[in-house]
Amino acid sequence: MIRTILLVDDDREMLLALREGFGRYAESMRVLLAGDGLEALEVLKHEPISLVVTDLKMPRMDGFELLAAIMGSYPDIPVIIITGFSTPDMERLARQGGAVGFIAKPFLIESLARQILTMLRRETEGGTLHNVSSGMFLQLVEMEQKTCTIRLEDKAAGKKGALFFVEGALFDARVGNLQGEPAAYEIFGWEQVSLSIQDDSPVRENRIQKDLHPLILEAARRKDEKKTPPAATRQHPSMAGKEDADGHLARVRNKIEQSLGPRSGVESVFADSVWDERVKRLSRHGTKLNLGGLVMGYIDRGDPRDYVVLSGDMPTVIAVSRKCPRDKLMQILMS
Amino acid sequence: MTLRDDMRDVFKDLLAVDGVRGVVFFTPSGERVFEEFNIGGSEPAAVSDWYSLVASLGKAREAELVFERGQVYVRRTADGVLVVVMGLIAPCAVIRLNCDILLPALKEQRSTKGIKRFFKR
Repeated sequence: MIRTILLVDDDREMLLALREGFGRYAESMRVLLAGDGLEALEVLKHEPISLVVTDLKMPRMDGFELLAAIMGSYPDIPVIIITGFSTPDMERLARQGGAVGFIAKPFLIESLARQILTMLRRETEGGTLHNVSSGMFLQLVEMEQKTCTIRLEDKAAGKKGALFFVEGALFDARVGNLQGEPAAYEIFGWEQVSLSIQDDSPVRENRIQKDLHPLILEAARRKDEKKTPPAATRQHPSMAGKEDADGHLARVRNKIEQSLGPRSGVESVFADSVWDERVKRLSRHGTKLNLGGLVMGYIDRGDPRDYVVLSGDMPTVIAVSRKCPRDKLMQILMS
Repeated sequence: MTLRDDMRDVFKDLLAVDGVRGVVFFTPSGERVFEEFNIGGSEPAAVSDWYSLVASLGKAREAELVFERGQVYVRRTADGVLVVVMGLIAPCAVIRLNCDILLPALKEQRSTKGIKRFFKR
């Protein structure tokens, strides 16, 4: 299996020399190049990268910032640091930040290649399986209470993703820059996958609060729904149905009213395709500015009422009066 | 005193608030008037990127946006748009309060020292 490696350095000659040097490992790895951290994040969004090698000193976004962004959004991707300004403190910081390797320039290309291949082998240390149904296998992982990272590939769709288990519980999932439950639903919708198992998990924060079984069932339901085109009268394209949508909106409203009481200032809670588009646009801009997708926003348009928008599977808009305790409301919704 | 020093003087309290990564101020037509990011903060983005973000808010005069890896506070004034970039735990209420104080100061500066020189016509 050929893996894709991303090399990040503002020294173009260095990049080209490395790519040429890695030519002899073409049966194991394909090499992509980026000139700084921001360019690297763009590549990560669109390419299934297995490992990143990055310089530290770069314009726009340096290696430490890139490392932090990768650990936040792509925790399964190992990062090796290469630097011409190596000090023990820098190495300590890089390792604390999650780097799996730290190499001082100058170095031998073979030595870097060996380190890369060692890291890539770790991805499959727990074994590989081909053409399996992920649902059955993953329930075994849960029963065995395994802590592991499972990388899956849906060859038919050309997609790759990762699931992170800690003691049998699914903590997180990732497909491209999608994380958490939405990524899990996407992966569980793949029919026949090849998967490899790494016997540890870089993720320790639980982003997925549901058990595996309901997640798999929900993924199947979503998949079926995709096969049936939604009716033209549907209120909200990402919702399972009007009842689900109404239930979700009522839950949001109840959550606010239970915390803030009748003086919450909430006038209405609704879903709206115009706002959905705005949320998507803001998320795109946030990602471009390296802030990630939009989680929530409070917007004052000079109208008698302000608006709070919640991102997620079901973007939700809350119209509030000026009497609404804004900071408290934001805090409640964030929790 | 240079234009940048003048603006830095106006925004210094804002830049000193815990968690503030940087401040960008640009004219309604998208020309950058001031930009400063604290050491260790995010690398400044192109002003067009901030302008696009603000443009996607439509006619909003104020917005508080929470992203996965940071927050952005946007305040539109007659002279331009102020964008404050913050970490996730920065106190947005404090930022708003600071803006309430400094934006009138900005206007005052316009009447006394001629802030119009900050903006291209």
